[in-house]
Amino acid sequence: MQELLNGVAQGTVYALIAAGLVLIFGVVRVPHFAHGESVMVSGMMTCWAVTSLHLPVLLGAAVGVAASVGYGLFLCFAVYWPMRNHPEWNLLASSLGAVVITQTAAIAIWTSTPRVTPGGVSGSFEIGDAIIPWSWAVLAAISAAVIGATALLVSRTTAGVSMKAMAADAETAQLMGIPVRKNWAIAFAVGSALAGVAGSVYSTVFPVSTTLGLDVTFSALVVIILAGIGSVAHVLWGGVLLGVVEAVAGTVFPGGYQDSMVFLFMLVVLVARPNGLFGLERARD
Amino acid sequence: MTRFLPWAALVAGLGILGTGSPYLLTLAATSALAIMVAIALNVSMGLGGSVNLGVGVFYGCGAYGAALLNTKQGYSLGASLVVAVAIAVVVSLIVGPLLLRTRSLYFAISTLALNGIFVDIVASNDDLGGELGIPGITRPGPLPFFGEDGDPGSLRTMYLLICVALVAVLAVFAAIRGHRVGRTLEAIREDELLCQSLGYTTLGYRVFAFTVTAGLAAVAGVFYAFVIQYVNPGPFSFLTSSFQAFVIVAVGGAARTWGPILAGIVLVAGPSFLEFSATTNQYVYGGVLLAIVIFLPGGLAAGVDRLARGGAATTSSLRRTLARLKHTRESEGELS
Amino acid sequence: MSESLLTVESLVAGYHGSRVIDDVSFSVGPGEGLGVVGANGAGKSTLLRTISGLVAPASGRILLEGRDITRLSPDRIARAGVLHVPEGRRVFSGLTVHENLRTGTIAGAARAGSSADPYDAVLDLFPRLRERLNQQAQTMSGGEQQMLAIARALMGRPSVLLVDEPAMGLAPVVVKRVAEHLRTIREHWGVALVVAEQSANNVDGIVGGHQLLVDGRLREVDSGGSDRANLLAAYRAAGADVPTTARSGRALTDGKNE
Ligand SMILES: Nc1ncnc2c1ncn2[C@@H]1O[C@H](COP(=O)(O)OP(=O)(O)OP(=O)(O)O)[C@@H](O)[C@H]1O
Ligand SMILES: [Mg+2]
Repeated sequence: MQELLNGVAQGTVYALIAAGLVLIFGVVRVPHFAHGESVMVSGMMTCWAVTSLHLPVLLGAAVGVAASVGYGLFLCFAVYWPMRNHPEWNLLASSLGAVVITQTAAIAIWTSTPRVTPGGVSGSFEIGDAIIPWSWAVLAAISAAVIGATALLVSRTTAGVSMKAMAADAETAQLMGIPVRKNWAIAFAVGSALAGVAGSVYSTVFPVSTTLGLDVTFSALVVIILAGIGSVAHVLWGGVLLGVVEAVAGTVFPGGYQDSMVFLFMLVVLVARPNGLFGLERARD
Repeated sequence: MTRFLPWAALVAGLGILGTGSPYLLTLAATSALAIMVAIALNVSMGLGGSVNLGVGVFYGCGAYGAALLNTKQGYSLGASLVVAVAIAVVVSLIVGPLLLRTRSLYFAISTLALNGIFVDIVASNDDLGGELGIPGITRPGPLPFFGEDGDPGSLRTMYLLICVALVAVLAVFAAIRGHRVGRTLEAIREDELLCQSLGYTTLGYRVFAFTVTAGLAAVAGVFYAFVIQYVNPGPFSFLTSSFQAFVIVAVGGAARTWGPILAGIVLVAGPSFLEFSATTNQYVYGGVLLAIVIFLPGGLAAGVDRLARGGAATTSSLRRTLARLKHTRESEGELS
Repeated sequence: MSESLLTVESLVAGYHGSRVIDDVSFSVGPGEGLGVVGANGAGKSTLLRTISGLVAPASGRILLEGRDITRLSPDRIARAGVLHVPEGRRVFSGLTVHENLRTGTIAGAARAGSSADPYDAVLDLFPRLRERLNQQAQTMSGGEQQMLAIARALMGRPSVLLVDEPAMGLAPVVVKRVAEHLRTIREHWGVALVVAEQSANNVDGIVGGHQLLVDGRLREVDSGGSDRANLLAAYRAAGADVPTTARSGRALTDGKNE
């Protein structure tokens, strides 16, 4: 029970990160493997702002999110936008190059010791015989709320609809006057902001380290594939599913194999539904 | 005649390195192995267009297979080579058709997952050495005609064998690329639907490319086990093996025979010989990678071509424009 | 022509060196039409795609109300008021009919001082779509998709509408209905209309005059002339369907257009 609830809390964070990646990958079709670095940058900046600048946690989180958005937009326009007509794997390679540089720089600045942002929510409450820290509940609630807000943004606003149109058929979207460059910026800004929120909130609850980026990206990819459908809201279920599968795998195989369970689960989903795991992708075929 | 020039240069370069100190030999050998894995990947990624991010699995199959066969059964290098590569090929024939149901980025992600599973299994299973790995692999004795003074563990012999393997793997790649099968693979990469409608069983070709990649990567793995004499999960993780191979192919120029050699020299061998600090090394690696994929989309091989042709740089850029136009055309998705 | 909305001057365009559009000039004013007729590969789509910015011209100019739009990006050209209904309709799949229409409004919203929301007017023109607002666009029939593609472009309040092969794959009755809609749009909405078709039959009722596109060159065919035999011969030479109900046309002005 305890593990399960822990899994759910972790899962909502995965979902939040994945929702950001769905926007970026779904709309502009960039395999943005540096997405996890946005999470790391935000977590580290939040921690730095709170411990070194003595800012209150909320302001620290704002610094973290801003850093994350800045990082995402920088990569968008310095790296990906100039390469928008290159083949997909070229973009993939460039995002991995960005991962290498970011991670090296982060380790040089912050070392690789995990750290927690002080001043998060404390205390706990009980459900049945499980003890839930309030911080977990806050983490899950913020994640779910932000995902919900993003889902509304995509489905209700004209900008959101135009992003869906771009995902379905970028060329025709242009013919309808949809501003491509601006939508790239929106996708990267909002996507990185979600990663930023995840990173800063997470850092107040669990330790974060400069090396977590790529693992986080992998988890987000797993979530996106489990969720199966391109809608941002479905990602929430994918994330919770991943969190729970991890927790269950952890109790069933205490001596390892957790990663295998998760990856195997993902492989089964991928192989069973080889085409168009994102609804967005299917829309193109 | 000029066709043999690069081969001669490669053999000469390897020969010169072969006179170096044991330290240099180890660096050269590991660089050669990284390049070998990339050449293997170039079959499925370059020719076939399937971005396989799990080549480390087969590299690892070769290495772990050889390590177990040698330490538990006393197999020699030659016998391990045959058996371990056969194991990798069988594994690839089982997982290949399944994974190849997916396409493009999904295929990349599923192979990445496969790599995660492999590393997790070898790290968790004590029979496979767990995190600690398997030590104590015995190298073959020195070759009779090869001077052995001052080279007790016959490192130089291993180096020589690795060089032979590298040239052989490269030759296999060049042969496939020039063969009808290679051209069919490239056609499938460009337009799979069209090839299907022409009656090709494209899945068969893609599985073939996947398997060749697996087999060649396993060859590199076997040599890895025998030259390092120790295997552990680290070198076969996504970051150290599959990622590395992918980057070498991308930077060198996909489907280009000499691409992995050029990129391997620039990205792997160069920095390790220059002995930068680990941090500088990473910056250089990431920076060179970014610069080349952004400014030289055809990779180093295309850049060298351009230099060789002097002013006639137009061909590759024309080819690129053509490819882009073709892309836009395809994305129109209409038959007119 | 009294005032010209869209003016194309000596346009040359093509792909990696090959000239597909070779020195084409024409102009259309509000409420006027132009039919671009030619066989497969004549370059109809290339002409329209060059005007809407998808293909970069090698030389020549494209003016909208006197303003040079030649080098603008496709989305800015659309926001300037030139909307393109692409070949094969290309409605956004995965989006509902309503959402498809909504994407169209983006081009119109960018122009200040445009008239009121065209939503109701567009749905009045295509009542069929009103019944299906929440249907997924890709599940509609070909004819409905063509209507949606046109309606989507109309939502952007175009002053110039480029339509590429609206009749493609549609039954004759449906072709007729689409044609009627397009004529309404031109005559009553005052939109300048450029329609590409393989068969002169299909554009006949939609636009005022036609032009033939032969090997990338436009040849003008004035309407209202009398030398029908010459017109037919010209169509045949261009590889186009021979019109069966064409009005009498006068001989082509030889060689260059305009
Ligand atoms: N993206 C492209 N790259 C290279 N050549 C192209 C491209 N698009 C079109 N072409 C060539 O340009 C010429 C004109 O094509 P276009 O599509 O404009 O003809 P079309 O008149 O629209 O034909 P259809 O009636 O079949 O649609 C053809 O020879 C075609 O092969
Ligand atoms: Mg056409």
